[in-house]
Amino acid sequence: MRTSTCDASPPMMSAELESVVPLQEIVPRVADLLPAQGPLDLFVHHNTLHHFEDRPFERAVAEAGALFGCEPYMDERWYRARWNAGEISDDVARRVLQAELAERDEEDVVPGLRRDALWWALLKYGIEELRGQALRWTLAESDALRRFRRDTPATQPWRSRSECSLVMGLWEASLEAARRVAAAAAPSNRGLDPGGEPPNRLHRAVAPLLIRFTAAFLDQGIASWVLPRRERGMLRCFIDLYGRRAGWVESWGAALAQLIDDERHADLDGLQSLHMSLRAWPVADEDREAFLTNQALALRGWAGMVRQVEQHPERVPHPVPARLADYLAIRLLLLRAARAHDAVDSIADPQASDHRPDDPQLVTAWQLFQVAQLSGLSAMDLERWSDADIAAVLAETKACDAVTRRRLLHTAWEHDQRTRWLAAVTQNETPQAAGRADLQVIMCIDDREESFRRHLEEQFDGVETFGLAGYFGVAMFYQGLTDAHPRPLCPGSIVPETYVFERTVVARDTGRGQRTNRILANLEHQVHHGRDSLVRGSIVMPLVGLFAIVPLVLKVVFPWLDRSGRTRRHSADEQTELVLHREDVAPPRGRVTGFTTDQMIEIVATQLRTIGLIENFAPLVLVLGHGSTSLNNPHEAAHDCGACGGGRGGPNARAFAAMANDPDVRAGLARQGIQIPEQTWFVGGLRNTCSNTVELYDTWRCPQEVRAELTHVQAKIERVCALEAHERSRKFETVAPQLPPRLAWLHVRGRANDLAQPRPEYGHATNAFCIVGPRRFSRGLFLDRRAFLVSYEPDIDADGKVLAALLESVGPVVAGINLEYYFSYVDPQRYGAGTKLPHNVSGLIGVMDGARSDLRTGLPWQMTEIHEPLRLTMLVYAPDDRVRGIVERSPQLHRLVANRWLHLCTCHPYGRSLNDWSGFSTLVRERAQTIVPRISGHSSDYYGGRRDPLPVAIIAPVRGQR
Amino acid sequence: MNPLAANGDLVALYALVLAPVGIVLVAVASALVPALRREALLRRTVALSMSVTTVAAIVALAAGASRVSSTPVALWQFAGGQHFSMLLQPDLPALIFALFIAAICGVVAAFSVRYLHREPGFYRYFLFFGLFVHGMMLVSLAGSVETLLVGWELIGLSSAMLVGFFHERPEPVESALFVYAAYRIGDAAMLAAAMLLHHWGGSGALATLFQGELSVVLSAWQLLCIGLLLLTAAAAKGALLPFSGWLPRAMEGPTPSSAVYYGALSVHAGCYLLWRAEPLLATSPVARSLALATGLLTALYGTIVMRAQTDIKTRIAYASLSQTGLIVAEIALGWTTLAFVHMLGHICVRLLELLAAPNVLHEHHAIENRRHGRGVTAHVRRRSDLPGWLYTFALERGYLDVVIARCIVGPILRLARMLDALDRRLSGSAHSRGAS
Repeated sequence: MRTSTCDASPPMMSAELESVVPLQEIVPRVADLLPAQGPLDLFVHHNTLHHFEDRPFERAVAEAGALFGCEPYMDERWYRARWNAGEISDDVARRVLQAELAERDEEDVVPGLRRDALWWALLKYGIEELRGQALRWTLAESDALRRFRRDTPATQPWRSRSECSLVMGLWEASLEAARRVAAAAAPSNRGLDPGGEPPNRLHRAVAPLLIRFTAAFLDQGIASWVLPRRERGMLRCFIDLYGRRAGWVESWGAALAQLIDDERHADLDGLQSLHMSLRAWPVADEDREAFLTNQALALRGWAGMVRQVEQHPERVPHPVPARLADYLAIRLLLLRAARAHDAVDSIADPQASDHRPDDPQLVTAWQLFQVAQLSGLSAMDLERWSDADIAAVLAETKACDAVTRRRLLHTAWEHDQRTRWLAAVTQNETPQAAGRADLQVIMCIDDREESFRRHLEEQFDGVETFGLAGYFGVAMFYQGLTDAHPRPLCPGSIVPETYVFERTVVARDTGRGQRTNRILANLEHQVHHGRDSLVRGSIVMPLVGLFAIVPLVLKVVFPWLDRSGRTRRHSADEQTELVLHREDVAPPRGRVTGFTTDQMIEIVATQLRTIGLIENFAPLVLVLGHGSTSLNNPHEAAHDCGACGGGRGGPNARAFAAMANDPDVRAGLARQGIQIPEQTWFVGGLRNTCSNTVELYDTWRCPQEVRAELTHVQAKIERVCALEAHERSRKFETVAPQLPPRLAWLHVRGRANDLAQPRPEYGHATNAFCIVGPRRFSRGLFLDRRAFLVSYEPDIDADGKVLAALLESVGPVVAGINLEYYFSYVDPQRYGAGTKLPHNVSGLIGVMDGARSDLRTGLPWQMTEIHEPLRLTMLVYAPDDRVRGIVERSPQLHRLVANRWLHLCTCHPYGRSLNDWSGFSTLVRERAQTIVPRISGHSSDYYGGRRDPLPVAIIAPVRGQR
Repeated sequence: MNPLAANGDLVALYALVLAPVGIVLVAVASALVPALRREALLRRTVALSMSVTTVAAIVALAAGASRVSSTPVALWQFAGGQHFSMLLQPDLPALIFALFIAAICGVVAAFSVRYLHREPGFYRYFLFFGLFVHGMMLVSLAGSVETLLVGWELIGLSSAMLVGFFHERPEPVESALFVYAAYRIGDAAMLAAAMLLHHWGGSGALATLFQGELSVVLSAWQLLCIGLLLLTAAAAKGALLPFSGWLPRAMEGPTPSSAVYYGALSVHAGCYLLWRAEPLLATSPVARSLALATGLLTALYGTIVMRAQTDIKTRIAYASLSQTGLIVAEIALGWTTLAFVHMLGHICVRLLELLAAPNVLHEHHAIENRRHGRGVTAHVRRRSDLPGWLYTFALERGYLDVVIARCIVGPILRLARMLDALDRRLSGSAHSRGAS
């Protein structure tokens, strides 16, 4: 592997190549730490800390938090507010604390102060960890030295008129104690930056140029001019563009030109140039990885995107040869040039204010002072302590530091919420089988479908619903009639082989209509692009510019009026079909065009077995994929179907229905023991989760008798859409709680069309649970759109093969969604993308804040603001040993479960005994005695007028009152 | 005759100018009194205030259209002298422009109440938005240079504060400072023009300036001087060359404020000023050709730089700049009607484009799909065979920042340091003398 680079490089380099080799290994390791988010229109939810999944969750968040400068959990005060609101019971908190301290809990830290008592006080009331300026301010300006803390009961007896002197006495004693152990308690010096980190001002000096160039290199279609000859790679382009002209670009540009010229970087590849710069900086060999990590993380959004394009060039329409090594080499060149210039002509750095060093004694005294108040100790108690006692107390407060306390608080809150939920869910009694269903609906497992299914079942008795990963087993490259490019519609982990396209059967209009359409589109394009060009713009603006006020007012003030382009395509007068059967057409992407009959039989059989629908077919089976349309939302694809790789699952549902209707496929299924009656008909469709509309496909193909039934069903669906819109709207603050369903539906349709709406829908926010099992166990439960519902029939899967495939595909996907929401909520500024308001689309691949920031990865605040940061609890209705066997055998599942990225529980489908793998089974059983709200009527009788996430309730429909 | 009916247009005029101040008052009140800090209250105030403004603009226009010539109306008379007064000049183009501002700001206000819902800076945003609308009204209706100056300052101040809206990050604050510094140069020019006008012309009334009557009173070089100062003020506000560097930096604020300031009204305030002062330009061939050159160069600069920008808001900013430059050139050539229509059309188009900037992915796919359909893989033609120097020139925005840093900021900094050192030496010696 060395020879090729050797030939290309000048002779002087060959001797040094030995030491280049490790760099080739370092760069991919560094790259693993970068965000793995792809271009915006292929947004797929994934665990933000995917690379840390090999270690326990608690360790991972702490380590990643330190590395990225991010928060591991919510703020302590947030948890205490929850505690005060009753969302953490003392009981659960004690259990968590006991588990943490194990058998050491009853030991005395110092005589008269037990460890568990100290930890309990620290956990429940906390210490404000102050240092430096903040501490000095608090001591001087607040009443911390005049009054005892009011939030802890321990100081109750001392609150009196002479309180002030008591507090001062305690503070003096704390100071004295701190003085005695001063030597021991000296704070550890922060580790020096490896290899002499560049100061922040150098980073800020080079960042704008680096961002401009990287964005230009990666651009996928915003600029009219493409970076000249970018197929040569990043470093070469950079040197061509800036090498000689650098002096014009920045005040330190001359130094850059000099550097490039002197070291002949034009002849080097990225790794060689990087090597050269590392030696010149200088960075010691052992510090290289840490140094490069910091360099890559300085603008981790951009570096991550470079890496994504390097690894998956097929994910962008115009592939470019991006290399992370090139990017790092450029960054180091810029830094070196800026440093060389800085040494000559230093500009004062406004950031570097003189920090007065911490006074360690003051910090220690503050801690002792707080501990004394929390534990009800007096100044005399403190004075009695020996040096060893003081050290022991300090060691204990250090062991129970802020991150530890937040971890324990989070664990307690999470288990409290989980056990309540599990206790309520397992109390649901199985309703009597209602005989043969007259409508069956297969939907995605998505948490947003829970409410739709519930309303459907509440409103209509004979409806049965199923949850199935929303690509319905049909992995394909799909190209609709009006799509310019095919796109993959399947989970990101699968690379589809089959290309499927849509074609016209009966055209709505002749070629003339199409030509008109194309001419109109071209005209629109001319006006659209004309506004940016000088000459065309100068004609367009005076002539038609004023008319722009019409769409302006329409789209902003009356968004619900404009429905253009929503439901036009699949109207009855234009009949299209999918080309599903194998054809001898060379596919533009993928290997083959269309599926063979055997493949189709396999797909349909597997999916039907997974959800347990192998008999008792209703006359009509709806298969509904989902997607979401919204305006002015760069993160639109994040609301689409994750199982379709951030696409819309309509074509998959349509394909599945067409396969299941195919006589050859049905014959094949019958051979496998799945008898679909002749009068049963499958209809595919797409549910829009933002505008709450459902579009059904290929209705013109239905047999006559089904068509009448279908009209009836469409009316039912419309009613459910309105009801579901009503339930969704309760979480939007600007919607009046008493809005009737019809108006709520109008409102959400307006939202999808509203240019001014940064929260068209709340997506997966509040998701926290997942149920894998037959719907009969969860039917009738109000789960508040918080649970993924995966259909699985344990009775027909004795060997566990179906469950194994199901868990392996569903587990990582739902955990990925859940964890991305967790991290984007816990640290919206750094794990998340911050607020949407200043977002600015760059290169059609990502968003920046304003015009010169890092690319923002993660979810914007407007998507996550109502989230509850709980790790996912997955409840599987299957025998415990079957699930354990599956998890043992699957490395990925095992990693997720054993490292607590996901809580798994099983419930036996017959004995109904619950087994919580996180060790809270007994608590769940105890809590099962508590009363679950039982509502007779409809969901709206429960949620009506309330905005917050609601606990589980059992909704019992009033019979005979349809 | 009923006195109210007789003064109806006067009332409408006052309402037009002062209604936006209501937003400011409620926003300030909600900052001071926590009980008033409710989004709904401010939302209703904004709706009411913008409706009043728009209705008043229609009434004032209907009343004003029937009059042939208009007399200035005093908004505020400074005590102690007739020389300084805040006059409004409700002539036809001013009223048309005011109605236009009212409509545009109304749409943007409707956009903003939804877009900024639940944002911590909600009240702050509308505080500055109210100031901005008030400032725009003063500028559009200005009858004296004092009114113009107040409006001009309000636009500049609110603009800088909204660029720095997200003040928890360093970049927006730096950018706000940059924008404000660029504005201050224009403000200084405006102030100088005001002083000269008073000094030479004897009053601050703009009627004489706008109708070209000053040419009788003032000498050619005096006219040139005032003309150039106004051109400088307009160039700073309109981001014309050589001030263009602040425009991309201004894109740090929330999308609607970027749209209404840098897509629509604020950048055109300079054009509007030049448009009103066109008779003055007409008297001085030098000022006129300078304006023409500035306009054309800016247009050329904008269109070249725009082509290499890779983020949507910066791209729109430079595209907008090229049209602004053309409008200025049209004014300089005396094609005032064309310039006015061009300006209004451009404001509408650009506002819509910037408000819908986050929609660019959606639009891109839609147009691509509609043009090509299945099977066609050709893309929008994009140039990739350019000479490197031209591309770098465009990507680096014409090296404007460095030129300014070297030629203006550098010398000023050095001068300041020199003075500082001198100061220290003098004070140090004074100190030592005092000690001895």
